[in-house]
Formats: sequence, C-alpha cells, structure tokens
Amino acid sequence: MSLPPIYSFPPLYTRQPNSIIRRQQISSWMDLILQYAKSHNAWSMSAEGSIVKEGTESVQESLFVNDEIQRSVPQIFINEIWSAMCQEGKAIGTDKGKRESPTYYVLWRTIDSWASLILQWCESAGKLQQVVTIYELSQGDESIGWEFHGMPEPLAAHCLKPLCQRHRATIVNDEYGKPVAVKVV
Amino acid sequence: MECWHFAETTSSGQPILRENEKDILIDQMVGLYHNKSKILNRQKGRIFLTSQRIVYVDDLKPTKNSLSLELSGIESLQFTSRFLRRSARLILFVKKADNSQIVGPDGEIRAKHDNCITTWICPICMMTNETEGEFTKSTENCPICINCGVAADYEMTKDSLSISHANDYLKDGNLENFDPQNNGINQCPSCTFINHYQIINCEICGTKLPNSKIRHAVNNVFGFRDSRVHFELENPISTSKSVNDEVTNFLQISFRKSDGVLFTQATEKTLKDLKKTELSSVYNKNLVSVNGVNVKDVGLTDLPLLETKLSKVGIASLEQSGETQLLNNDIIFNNALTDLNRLMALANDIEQLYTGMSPKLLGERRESGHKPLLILDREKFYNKSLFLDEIAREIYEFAISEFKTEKERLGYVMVTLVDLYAMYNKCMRIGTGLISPQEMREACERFEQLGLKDLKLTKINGRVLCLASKNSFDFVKTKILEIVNEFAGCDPLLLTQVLNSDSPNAWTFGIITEVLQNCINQGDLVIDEQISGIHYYRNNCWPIPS
Repeated sequence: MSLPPIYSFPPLYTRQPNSIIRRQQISSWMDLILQYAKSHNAWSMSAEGSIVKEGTESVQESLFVNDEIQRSVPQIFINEIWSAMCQEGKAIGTDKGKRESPTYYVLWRTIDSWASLILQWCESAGKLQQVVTIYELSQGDESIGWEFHGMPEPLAAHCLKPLCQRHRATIVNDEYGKPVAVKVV
Repeated sequence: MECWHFAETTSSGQPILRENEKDILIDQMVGLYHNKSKILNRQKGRIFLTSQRIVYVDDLKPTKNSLSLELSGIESLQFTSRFLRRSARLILFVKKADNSQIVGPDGEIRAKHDNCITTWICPICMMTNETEGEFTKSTENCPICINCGVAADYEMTKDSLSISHANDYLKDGNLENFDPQNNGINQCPSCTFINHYQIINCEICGTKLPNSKIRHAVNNVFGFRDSRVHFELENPISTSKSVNDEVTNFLQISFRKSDGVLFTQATEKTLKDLKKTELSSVYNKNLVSVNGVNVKDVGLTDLPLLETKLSKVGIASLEQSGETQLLNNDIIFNNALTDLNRLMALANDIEQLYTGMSPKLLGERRESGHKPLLILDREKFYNKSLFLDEIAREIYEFAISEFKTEKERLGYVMVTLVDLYAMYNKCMRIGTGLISPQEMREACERFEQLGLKDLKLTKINGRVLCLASKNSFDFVKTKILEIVNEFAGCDPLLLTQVLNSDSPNAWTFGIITEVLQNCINQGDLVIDEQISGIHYYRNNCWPIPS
C-alpha cells in the first residue's frame, strides 16, 4: 500500500518552529497514521510507530522512520503527535490514566461511529434484549464481515460506553470489575 | 565675486577635500554675505575650515549650493561679536590682486597700467621673482629680490626679463611676448606633471603651483567663471561700480548659533601658518644646521659598541669588560635581528594585503579609493549632537560607497548595523577614536533628519537593526524564495553562494539568516533539521490560513 506523497517530504520529519504550520503538520501525521492503520487493519500501534498485533512480536518497521529519504521523527515530536491524537479522540492510550503509554489504540472511526456500528449489528443480528459477551461481539463468528471484527476487547468495551450513556446498553462486569458482556436494549 | 569657487561635496553633504588638504574645524548654522548683502540661498549651512580653503556646505542643497574660498586669497580678517539681534560675524578681506582686475561680463573694463607682471631672475641668487608692473630702464623704484633683498639692476637683469601683459593672452595673434618656456607650461614642482595654465593646484598631487598670480591675472582677464557657481545677492551691486569706486572687497560669515570665536581664531592661525610655510619655502631652503645645531635629527649615530672606559685594572677586569662587551653586542645584534624580522613580517603582511586587495581597488573602487577624507575628531565639535550629525553623514557616505556596486546592479542595499559598525570602525575610525555602538545607532537614526534618504534604519524581525534601502527586504525575500523553489532543500551555505554568485558579500550571512527567519515566521518556508544543518523547503503542503 502506498502512502501519500507528503510522506516523502523531508520537513515533515522536523518539528516546525512556526506553531500554525506545526498544527497542520501534526494533522498531516494524524491522517497518515489513521490511513496506515486502516490499510493494515491494525487496531493498535506502539508509541514508536509500529503495528502491534496480538500474540505476535512487533518487529515491523515504524511508520515514523522513512528509509527511502533517510529521515525519522524524533521521539519527543512523536509523543507530541500521539498526545494531540488522544486529545482529538483519534487514539486512546492502552494504559488508562497515564498521559503516555507504550501502545495506543488507533481509531480510524470515532468512538461514536463505532458504537452506532455495533448497535446496527445487534439490530441486524437479532441480539437485542439479550446478553452478548464482548468476546462474542469482537471475535465471534457472527460478526465476521463487520468492520469491528477483531477489535481488541478493552477497546470494544470502550466503544460501548456511548451506548450506555444513551441508555441503550448495560455493561456486565466480572468480579474484578472487567467488562465481559453487554446487553443492548 | 571671483573669489568664490564651487565646492564639490558628497551626496551626504561632506566636502570632498583635495590631496594634502586637512580639515581643521567645523561650525554650524552660518550664512554668507558678499560685501554687505546676503547671498541668497546660502544662509543656512555648515562651514568647514581646512588647511587650504574655507568651505561652505549648504544644508538644503549640498551638492548644488556649496561654495569654497581659497585661504591664499584672503588678505586679513576681522571679527565682530554678537550685538543685540546682530549675530557674530567673521569678515574676510580678499586680496586686492585678485579683485582689482575684475572684468565685467562684457569684458570691456580692464585694469589699467599695472595689469602686467614682470618676471626676472635675480643676478645674485638666481631667484625668479615676480613683480607687478613693467620693469623697464626708466623704472624708478627697482624691485627688490624676495630672496636676498637686494634691489635689482636693470642692466644686469634685462636678459632674464619677461613681461607678461595680461591683455596679450586675450588676443591669440599677439603671443610673441608670451614666452612658452617660462609661463606657458605650468609644470608641477613636485611631480613634474604639466597642468593647464589656469590651474592653481596640481591635478595629480594637489601641490600648490607657482606663478599662480600671473596665471590668475590672465584667468580674470578672460572673464573665466566656473559655470557651477551661480548665486544672487540680496542687494545686487553692479560689478563695474565696485571696480570704479575701488571698494575693498570683503566677505562675511555670519554665525547664527555659535559665537564664532573659535572659528575665527582657528582661521587666523591657519592663515598665519600658511604665510609662514610660504615664506619658509623661500628662505632657509635646504638648511642643514643653525649655529651648529642640526635642524633635522639624524637619529642614533653612536651606539655604545665599544666600551672604552675601563674602571678596573688588571687582566681579570679586561676579561670581564670583554665579556660584557660581547654580551652587549649580542643583545644589540639580537635586537637588530628581531627588528628586522618584524619588519619583514610587516612587509609581508602589507604585500599580502595589497595583492589581495589590488584587484578590488583597481576594479571597483578606483574612483573613490584614494579620496582624502575629513577627519572627524571629537575635539573639533562644540557638542555631541554636532558630532553625531557629522558622523551620520560619514557613515552614510561610507555605506553608500562600500555597497556601491550592489546598489548599481540591484538597486538594493542591506546591511546589519553590527556588520556596518565593525566595518566603519575598522576602516574609518582608527586613529581618530572609535565610536560606540550607541553613537552609531544614534547617528543612523539621524539620517532622515539630515535629508539622507537612500538608506534607512529599519528593524527586521523586531530584533535586528539594519541599514537598508527601500523595499530591499522584500527584494531579498522574494529572491530567497525563488532560490529555495529552485533548489528544494538547500542549506544556508548553498543559499548564500547562489545569492552572492554575482558579487561577493552583497548580502551578508546575518541578513540572510534574518530573512530566512522571517520566511519561517510567515510560513513561507519549512525546515528540515538534520545533523548536517538546516535545510529549507517551500511550504506547499500546509497552507497558512489568512
């Protein structure tokens, strides 16, 4: 898959001193990350910019290193990009409560749009008014073909929160307070 | 009116001095009078006293309305101090010789009998004398030789006599009496250049030429006038009247602000010195000693090479004195050698400097390179403000001449004040006292006030002070953007090289850095920072919302 031409523009890799320009530079980076994650079907990325697949060692090359033009983004600037992404709701840190975390969930759709997509699935699959485990929701056979299939469970639980707020869903926690199932009404 | 000459000035209003001419004093806010009437448009200006002239530089139109007055043409001076509303004045009486033969514009009025000059050689000391009037057999009071003081005898001098009638020069056909060997050729005594016969100072070396009186007389008869000198008097007087009445000609300098005492004293002293040097060149020529005392210090002649006084006796003392002798000799030789080495090193330096600079001197700055300059000493000025005014003019002139080529080629000049400060102090102020950065800045702020409009003090990026001509900043900026467009990702070094590819040092690095900074702040350029340095790119991807 090819990245847009801006990816090979050397100034992209330097934190621009002009703040107005820098804001646009960061938004360029966000677009790049979302596009990259979506095309690789990756749910989470490490802070260094490589894709994290569950169960596998993350040995893939980082998005923030461009060997073609021999440029790389300094770590300080990468952190700035991630925190901007978190602020705009385009990424969520896996370690809750901390400002910086080693991996991030990348949301190429917003949380709300994920929530409505899940609601749509529940309606079409006849899962209303019954308890569905989160595993069933994200990894089960019934959700194959839907975009959220393969979503990590903590992220799926997070995506259900807007439904709870709208009183369309109730989350069932286990004895450790970990969400395990959901009932959509 | 012939005593007034045109004075050349720089565009910033400083007089251009001749070779060997030195400035002595400057006074501000003066007006000029001829006889008793004001000279129009010459009422507000500065007056410079130099070793050869008095130069008036007009404040409003320095290049057009400036006048000068030869000190050698001044007979005497008088000073009247301020009285009620009348300002202090310096009255200068012009030598009659210059004015007695004033010719009207029609050339009709001519002086009568004494309008001819006799040149004769003293039979005793072979001095060539000039006397007014005809020297014939019937002349009663024989002229006296200015060198030996003995009256000339007609019989003995008649072979060397040459009488030049001023009138003769008028008619081309009547040149028999005009001896080209003696008078026609106006050779400079110090550099042997043959000048035009009306010229007073040698064109090449600026030395005052002899026989100027004769030639000047001719000059007047021809009715020669510098076309650049034109002024009007407030109460015009007819020229013919002034001649007929034999009115003594005088000029007045009116000091509107200062009391003029200092200027008068300085002028008086300069005049006296001038007379003294004139005389000393006649008397005491090639004088070696007066009453057995050498006039010139010959320098160290007797070095204590040999110790002759022996205080002690015996072989031991002889040996000791021999040793000290050797030691002394060693020291002297060592000193001599180190001196010699130093001299050689200096000579090498000078040679290097010359070979390095000569193409520049020969190429670009042939005209302006060797002009003698005013020496602006702090002591010459009554107060600091006047000093700063004068410094401002000099800095302006310096900047203009230093960046002349760029100005001609591009029409834009820009230099940081820091660079200019270093250049100016190095080039102009050594020996006359360096100026402080504060003074530099204050002087530059006065440009507009003094009517110097080509360069302006501007602040770029709100932090760096620059002397720049109008729009030069935008000019460099567009130029830099063009270059960055062409060479995407260029570093400052490449940028400087491309920008200065036509002429070295047109744009200093300081200026370029500031302009780049400005481009970044404006969002025109984006940077790519690497270990090798900063590379610049045009900002095509991230538009600035306006």
